[in-house]
This record gives sequence, C-alpha cells and structure tokens, in this order.
Amino acid sequence: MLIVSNKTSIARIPVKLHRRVCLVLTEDALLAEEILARKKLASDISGRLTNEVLLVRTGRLESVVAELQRMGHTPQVLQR
Amino acid sequence: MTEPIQKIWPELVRLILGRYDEKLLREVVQRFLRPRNQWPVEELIDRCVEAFDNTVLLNRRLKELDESRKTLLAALAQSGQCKWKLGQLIEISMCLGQDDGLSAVFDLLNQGFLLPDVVNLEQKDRLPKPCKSPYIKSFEQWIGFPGPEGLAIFLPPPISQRSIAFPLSLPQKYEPPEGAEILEPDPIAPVLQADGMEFPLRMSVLLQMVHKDPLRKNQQGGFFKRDLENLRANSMLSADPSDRLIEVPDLGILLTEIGLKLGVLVPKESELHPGTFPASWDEGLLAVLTEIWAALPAIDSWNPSTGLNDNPEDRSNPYNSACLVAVLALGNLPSNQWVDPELLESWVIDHHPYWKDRESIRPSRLKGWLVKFLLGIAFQIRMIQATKLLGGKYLVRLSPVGRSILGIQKENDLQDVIAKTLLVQPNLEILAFRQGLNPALARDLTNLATLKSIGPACQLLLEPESVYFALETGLRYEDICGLLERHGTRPTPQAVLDAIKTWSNKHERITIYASATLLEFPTAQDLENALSRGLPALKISDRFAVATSEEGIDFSQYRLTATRDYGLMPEKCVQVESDGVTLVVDISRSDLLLETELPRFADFVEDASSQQRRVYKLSPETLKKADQVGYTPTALDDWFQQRLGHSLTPAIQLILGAKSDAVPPSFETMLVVHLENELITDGIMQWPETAQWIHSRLGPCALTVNSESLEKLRKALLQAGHKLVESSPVQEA
Repeated sequence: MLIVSNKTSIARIPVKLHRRVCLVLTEDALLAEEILARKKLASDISGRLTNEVLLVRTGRLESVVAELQRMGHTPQVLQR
Repeated sequence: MTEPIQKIWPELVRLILGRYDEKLLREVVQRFLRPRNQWPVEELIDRCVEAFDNTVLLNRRLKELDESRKTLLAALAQSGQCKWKLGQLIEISMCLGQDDGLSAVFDLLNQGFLLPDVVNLEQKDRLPKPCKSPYIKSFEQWIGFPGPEGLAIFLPPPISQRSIAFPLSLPQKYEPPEGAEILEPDPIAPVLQADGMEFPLRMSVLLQMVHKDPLRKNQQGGFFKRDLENLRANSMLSADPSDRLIEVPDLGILLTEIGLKLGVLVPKESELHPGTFPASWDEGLLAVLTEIWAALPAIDSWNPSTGLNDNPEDRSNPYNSACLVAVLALGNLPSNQWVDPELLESWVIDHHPYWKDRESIRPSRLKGWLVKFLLGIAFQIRMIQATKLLGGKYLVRLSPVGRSILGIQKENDLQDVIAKTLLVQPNLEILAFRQGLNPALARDLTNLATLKSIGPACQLLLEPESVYFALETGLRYEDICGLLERHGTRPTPQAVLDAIKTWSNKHERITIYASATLLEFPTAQDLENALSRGLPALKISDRFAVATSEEGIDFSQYRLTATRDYGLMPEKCVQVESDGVTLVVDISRSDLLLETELPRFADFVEDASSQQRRVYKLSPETLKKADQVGYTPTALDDWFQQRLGHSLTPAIQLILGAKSDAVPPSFETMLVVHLENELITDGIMQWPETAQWIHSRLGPCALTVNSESLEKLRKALLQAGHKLVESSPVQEA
C-alpha cells in the first residue's frame, strides 16, 4: 500500500507576530467608516487593517474609548 | 486583587525574620524552634517558617506559654485581625488583667509568636524585597526607631488558629455592681437579630456611588468637603437601617473605611476608586461578616462616640480595643446571658488604660459609645442579639453567629436562603426580597442593576449603563438572563429580555482589544491550517487572526518570521528619495502601524515597489486628504521624526505651506552682476559707494541690480578700477 504523507499539513506554519497591538473590531465596515470619519478619533487611529478592523495608536486606548462613548457607542474592552 | 494574608503569610514571615539581626534571630529561634544544630541564617528562617505549619510543635510551644500570654493571643485571634498597633495590644493586654501590657507583648515577640510588622502588611501587593543588611538588633531598639511602618505587630495566621480556643481572663459570670438595678428581659419580648445583609448591601451602594464619582482625599488624608457631604447625605449609605436600634454617627464614613480595608474601594493617588468584592462574597454570609468584623479594629478615623475623627492632632482611638474587649467579654459569658450594655461599658472603662484618668477625658468620650457600637454596628453584622425592656432600654448578648465569627463556636443559626427572591417587572425594575439575598447574589445584582433603595425589599433598576457594566465584568446576555431566571419568582418579562438583548447587541458592535496579539500569515491557506490545528484566535481577515493573549498558542507549530512589539518605540524603517516626496519602506523592518498609516497621506506606487521595498508618493492631493482625516502638519512631522528620524522635507513643507492667507510668491526683472571671485563681491557689498546700488546678493559671486541703478554702479566700480561689461545675451532656445 502506498502511503502519501502530506508534508504541508505537518510543517510549521510561518507567521509574523504583532505583540501588544491595540485594535478596534467593528461589527461592519460602515461602523468603521463612521469611526474614521470622526475627526477626534481619526488622529488616535493609526489606520485600517481590514474593512472592519482599525489600528489604534500606542497609548491612545483611553481617549478612543472615551470618544466612542461620547458618540453613543458602548465598546466592549477586552484586556489581556 | 491582592492575595489574602492566609496565603502569603510564609513570605511575610520570611521577609520579617530576614530583617532580624543574626544574634536576635538565633535567640528568637532558639526559644521557638530549639534547633540542635547551628544552621545558617537562611536555613534557620526556612525552618522557622516550616515550624509555623507544624501543628505538634506549635501546640507544644503554646502550651508552655504563661496564661496571661495565652489570653492575649486568644483575644487577638478572636478579633480576626492579624495586624495591630503596639498601643492597642498594650490596651488589650491591660484590659485582660495585666498590670504592664508591654511586658506581655515583648515576651511574645521574643518567643517568636508575634512579629514586628516591618514590611507594611497593608500594602501586601507591594511587598518590599528581602533585606540584605538586617537592622533589628533588639525589640527595644525597634520600638525606639520603628521606621516608616510605625509600631505595628503581626500575628501569623497559624498562631492565631491554634490560640483561638485559649480561655480569656474575662468574667465568666455576669455580676452587676452592687446597687445597680438588675434588669431581666421580658420573657415574651422578641429577640431582635439583624439579617446581616445591611453592611454587604451598603457596600454595593458604596461601590456604585464611587463608580460614578471617585471619592477625593485632601493632603491631610481627609475627604473633600463635597464628598464628605455626599457620604453623609446619601440616603442609602448613611440613612438608618429599617431595623435600627440606635443612631450611629457617620455610618457612611465607617462603611467607606470598611470598604477600603476589604478592597471594595481602592486608593489611587488621592482618590478612592471602585475595587472588587473580596472572595469571601462567594463563601457565604458568615465569611463576609467575619471579614467585616476583622476590618473594624484597623479603622482609625472613625469611632462610635463621635463618628469621623478628622482632627489630625488627635488620632487616638481607644475605642477599637475597648469595643473588642467588650465583645470578647460577651463571648465569655454563657450564651443565654443578657447584659446591660451600659454596665458593660462601665466595666470596660474601669479596665481600659485610656479611661484611667477620667478627669482629663471629655464627657462625650465617657458614655454612650459602647451602646452605639453594640446596637449600631455589632447588631447589624449579626454578632449581637438584643431584647427591649419596657422602658425602652435594650439588653444584649452575643449571637450564635457572633460566636462563630469569634471562632469560639461552630454551630450558628445561619440558614440557606431561598433562591427565588427576585421579582423582575416589565418596567425594568427588580425587587429583591431581603430574606432571599446572600452576598454573592447581592454582588451580582450590584453589577447588573442600579440600586434605588435598600430595605426589606431592595429596589433595583436595569439601565443601559448598568447592563453595559455587567457585560464589562464578563457576563454575557445568557448569563444575565440565567441569573434573573434562577432567582426570579416569576418568568422574566419578555420586554426586559428584549431590552437586555438590545443593549447586549449594541455592546457587541464594537470590540476593543487593549493589548492583543495579532498573527499575520503569509497566505489565507496558512491561516486556515493554523485554525484547523486549534489556534486559539479569532480570524479577522484572510491572513490575520487576533488573540487576547499568547497563552494557549502552541508555538511549536509555528515558525516566527518576524516579531513586532507595539509597546516599544516605532522603528525607523522609511527613507525619503531626493525629490523629497517619495518614501521607500523597508518591508523587513516595517510594521502594521506603518502600513496602515502611510496610505492615509501617500499614494502607493506599485510599479516602483518590490517584495523588499514599498514605494509611496506624497502629493498636494494626498496631503489635503490627510489633513481632512486629522493628519495635521504637526502630526505628520511627528510621524516623520518617528519613522525617518528627521522633520518634514522642504518639498513637503512647501506643499503644506500653501495657505490662502500666505504671502504669494512674486517675480520681477533684475540684472545679474557676475564677479570674478568672492573677495570682490564682498568688497562691493561692503564699500558704501557700491553697496547702495546693490539689490541683493544671489550667491558668493553674483549680485542683483535694478536696471535704474546699473549706470551708477558702473561709475562707482570704475572709481575703484573695475570695468563693468555686459556679457553676451543668452540665446533663447
């Protein structure tokens, strides 16, 4: 019997690790747009990783949360 | 949350003994451990810590103690408090019949049963490091120079546990003084006993109050005037309980101090912020009441006589030791013995050293304080039972719960409460019937709904903010519904469930990962493979997955191609080309922030990019767009400093500087005079005869002149012997 081993499935998967990243995960892209359109938030947000994910600048978490709450949102903050 | 002292005491003992001078340590250990060999100091300390856990040895040593020492240890053990001020110990010792309270304390220190608190137990989450140069040569020297921690004594929990049952040298029979009226309770009068939930519920009120507005403290350690007024005026915190027997001064202040001791409030700089309920809230009412009882002797700024003591010059608080002795005295009497609290107060005053010189003590400090403590505080934490006489006077006795709290009796009358005790109404109000409440349920309700009133039936209100707070604490929609269903007397109304669902959904619309680990895979297939191997992360795009922590990630399955830590300073990985507007990113050193930031103010130039480098170009359009999304010139300059190591290039500054109100560039016709060398040019600029006709200097050997001044310059130059000739005109292309 011929046994074919699937090398790719057991090989170690290459990955780039980004540690201590602060990001905002929105329910949909529209909400991300709304956040980005807010001028006060835009300066705290470094950029858009995907349609729904925004990267927050280092050390700006608290001001982002406060501004989101001012906008009427109730963000769920997940700590480490 | 800080570790309870029962868990960390070995470390504390080790730290304290490590501060003993070797000679003192050997003397103490010789009495306590009696080692046969000469062990090194470190081993001696280790053996000493182990000996505290050795029941047989501990019992043997305690048995050898003098009765007066045993009774002091028993009194401390029954208080539940493991840290005492030296003065309080002396007071207790004297109340227990010792003429000289200090000698008993010294004796216990020398024998190793008590330890000087030189590590500040109150800050047990920030313990000091082991001491390299032991400094306590003798306890007399320590009393003379106690250091910043003050004269405080630590009773290790194992000693406390073993000495709790020693008899106290207190009266075992109630004998009113001669001439005193003998009061007998009415046989048909009811025995009054609180349910013990008043203080735990008020802790919930305090937590919700501080969550809205932290309490501020001034430099003297007292409360801000407005906060003090709020604490005194809060109708739920400071108002009389529904079953009150006597008015207690500044109850809100006392609760705040208890909250601080229990960790419900946490001091941060000069403010008090909400903390967490202690673990005892899960262990039942007895554990909670025991913890509150243990916190009472450590409160200095409140006393039952005058309430808040905010006089910084008079910090004496003899009431802690006096109230403890009074409760211990009640515990020493037969369980059914009713006692007149005023007579008990007189007995304590007769035996307590503070009241020895009664002439110098204010009358307000002489009478009434013990009645307030017993009927106001001890009654509310269910330690005391009371019965009312016809004249309105109360008699007291220690309750079975009180005996359990002191540790002198195991059985008590605490019963399992009825689980179904909530009535959830469609208008989002919750009625919590007191008889079914326990500390754990009170805590859960505190996290979920805003307390509106406390009484026989506590009223709570479900609000968006309160539900969000519950969700923040880790509860999910299903948990909240489960809690209401489990304890509700009726099914939860659909309108309430819908409201909670709406708020929960809104809460879940935005999730912020405060410090996540982001895993970036080269291909979507790699990410799928990783997830199929059990990667504990949430997929957020084709190539990215996010995890709240790295715990649980099996790194043996992955090959790390690069690691970036966003807690560190951003790396300089961008270079600018000579045109000043083209940015080249070194891919091997770049990070996510950079890659998401750049497209916001520069266009990606795909043709010029490769696998190793990415090229972006800035233009007036991209910079205008950047300004609209909040990238001000200052922010952009900061970015350049971080990523390139220098300020904005002149070309970018040129584009950014083009404002509507700026002075517009202008042009005019000028003649250029070329000189042979710099020296001649300097001469023309310096000599007034020529300098007056020069418009400006263009360079080292070039000047500009107006056409009107040309002839005058020519003449002036001729005087100096230089002939100005016209160069051949440039032929236009």
